[in-house]
Amino acid sequence: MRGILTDMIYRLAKGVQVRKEDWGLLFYSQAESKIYFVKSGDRLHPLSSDGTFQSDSICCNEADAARISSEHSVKNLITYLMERDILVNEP
Amino acid sequence: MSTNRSALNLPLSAPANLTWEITRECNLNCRHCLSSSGQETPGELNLEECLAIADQLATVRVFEINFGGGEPLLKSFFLPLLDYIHRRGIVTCISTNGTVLTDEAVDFFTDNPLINIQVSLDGATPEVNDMIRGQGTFYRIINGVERLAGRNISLSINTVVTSLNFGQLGQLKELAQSLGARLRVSRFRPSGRAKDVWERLRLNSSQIQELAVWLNQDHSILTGDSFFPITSEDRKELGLNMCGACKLTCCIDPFGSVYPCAFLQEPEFCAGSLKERSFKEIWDGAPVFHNFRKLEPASCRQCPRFDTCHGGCPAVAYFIRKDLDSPDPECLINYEMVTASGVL
Repeated sequence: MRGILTDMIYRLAKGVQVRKEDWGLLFYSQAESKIYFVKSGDRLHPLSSDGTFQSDSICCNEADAARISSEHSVKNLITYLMERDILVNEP
Repeated sequence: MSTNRSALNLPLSAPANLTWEITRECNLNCRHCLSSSGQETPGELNLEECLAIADQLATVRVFEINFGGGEPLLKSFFLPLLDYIHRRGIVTCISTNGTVLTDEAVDFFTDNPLINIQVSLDGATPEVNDMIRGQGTFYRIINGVERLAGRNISLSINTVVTSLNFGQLGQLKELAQSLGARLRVSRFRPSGRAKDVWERLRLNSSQIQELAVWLNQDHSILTGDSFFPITSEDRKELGLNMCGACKLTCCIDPFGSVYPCAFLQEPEFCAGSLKERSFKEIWDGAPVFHNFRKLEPASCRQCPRFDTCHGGCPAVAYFIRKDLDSPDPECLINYEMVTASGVL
């Protein structure tokens, strides 16, 4: 089945840090002095060594039905984080 | 820092930020000092010990350290310590009285993306400020702010709101803006020397309500972790809207002891010493911290605002009623109930 995620590459926005917790990711935005709790489990992590990740690599090990559901969740999550300047697209 | 109540049920492997009181030494003698600062005290951590602690904080990925004291800039190794911490990617916020800025410090802060500076000022006029911070301090503080302004430094003026300066909050905001800074207001809590002037300087009920309205109308005012007992729903995203002690934050004192927060540096709340145990061991295993994480004043659970403030500030409740399991005495709802019963 064809996935819905594209080959987009993402990285943390400037001034944003992230830390892995058991339940997901804790993001810190210095500009807003805000933290975001993202209950993503083991998704979106780890970032590759250059600080980026590709969305279509996140769910590649799952069976098709679960993969589509996961892709929707990941897509919504990425959109949420981009709207809040936590993630940015790599050109 | 801001977050929401349900998120605080998610355990953290380390604090997101913490307060590090780097020294008890201060050249001022402010009436409301939460640390009762004055002379440097024997036994304060040396540079080597501080660097080792910084390494531990970097390892557990603390994002931000808020330095206070005393006056941090009086610590001889403070700038090298900051530089070391910045090299590990940790953001720092420095609370300073603004009167001991050296050229070296100003240059260090200039264009530094990992620095936030809060200069303490407790009145828009000398007459009011100097009643708290000491004779002649107003102009010395303003001079300090002017030296920092226009240098690409994240700069705010921090005011502890008391009955003395309550009427000048609007002027303080204008003064901060004229100096290129934001205004941040902090809650007056009966810790340290403030215990001696608590009854005289605390806000009354009508002032608390007026403050709530003012804060809720002006979202440009920073509040940090101070005023969640009176915050409105639409402001709750702008600052920490509940007690983050032992969940999001904690405090390290000048001697390496760890506490739930800067306002509870009392022996009964000491979670451990970094001279004897690692930070991670204390964060994960200290009984004091475990108890704090379960804190939930019974009388607050039925309150319609419980999900907003979760019982308010335990430090204020403890110092007034000697009981952590009691609600924040300055919560808007509780104030009306308690004064009606004659307890306050």
